[in-house]
Amino acid sequence: MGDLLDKGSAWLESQRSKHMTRDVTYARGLITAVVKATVGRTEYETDDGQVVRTEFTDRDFLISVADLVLDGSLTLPDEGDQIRETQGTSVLIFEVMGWRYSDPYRRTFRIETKHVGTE
Amino acid sequence: MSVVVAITEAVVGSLNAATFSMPFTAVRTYLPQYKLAEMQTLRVTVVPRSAVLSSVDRSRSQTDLAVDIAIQKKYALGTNPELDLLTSLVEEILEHTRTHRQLDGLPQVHWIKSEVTALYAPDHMEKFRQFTSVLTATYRVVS
Repeated sequence: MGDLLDKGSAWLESQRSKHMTRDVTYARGLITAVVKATVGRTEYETDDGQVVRTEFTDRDFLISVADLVLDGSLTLPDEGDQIRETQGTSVLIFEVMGWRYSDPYRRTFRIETKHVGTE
Repeated sequence: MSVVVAITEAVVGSLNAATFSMPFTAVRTYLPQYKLAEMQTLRVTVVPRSAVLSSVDRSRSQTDLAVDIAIQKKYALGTNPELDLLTSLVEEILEHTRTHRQLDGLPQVHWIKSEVTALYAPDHMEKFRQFTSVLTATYRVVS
């Protein structure tokens, strides 16, 4: 009968990828790839530094492990990578601060980013 | 204008008139708060910090006025050579406060000391991949 939960998770991941994603550009230096991503948690926050304070926007992106192919190889996210998302005439640039798998079967990355610029 | 504000303005002028290894334009503000997306540019911010009044003798008093100088930049890779440049800049600014102990237009004000209590903020590196350093320069007015 196999692992029903594993099969269910695979089906859900295929549905997420089909119906709940938008194209974004994943970049590591000059190497880029267009991947399908689901925009997750987005929060605007202010750091509580004593002398200087920083305002920032956190955003998580869900990306299939199988989709993150850079330079022909399956790749793990890395700090400093960038995700570029087009909104209207602007391109929002998010920098990867960390990541984890979002499911027990390691099919999807939850990539934690911060907004670092707009073009 | 209050003395501490005048000192802060004079420190800004002194920094902007000098040449450092990394170019910047220092600014004075009461609330140094920037968006992370603005931090690709090197930011140097001067903020009034504290004033301590004490007596020198029966007839004279002194006021020690401190200003904070924040040096901040979002770095690209975070390699040692990249961060070393920013650390060097902090030391240059620290040295600048010593070598420019007399501020323009404020003959009654004298530099006393400058200190960097923490050379950089590890939490800003972890959360923002950003270099943040704050040094405090203290000036004395005897009256």
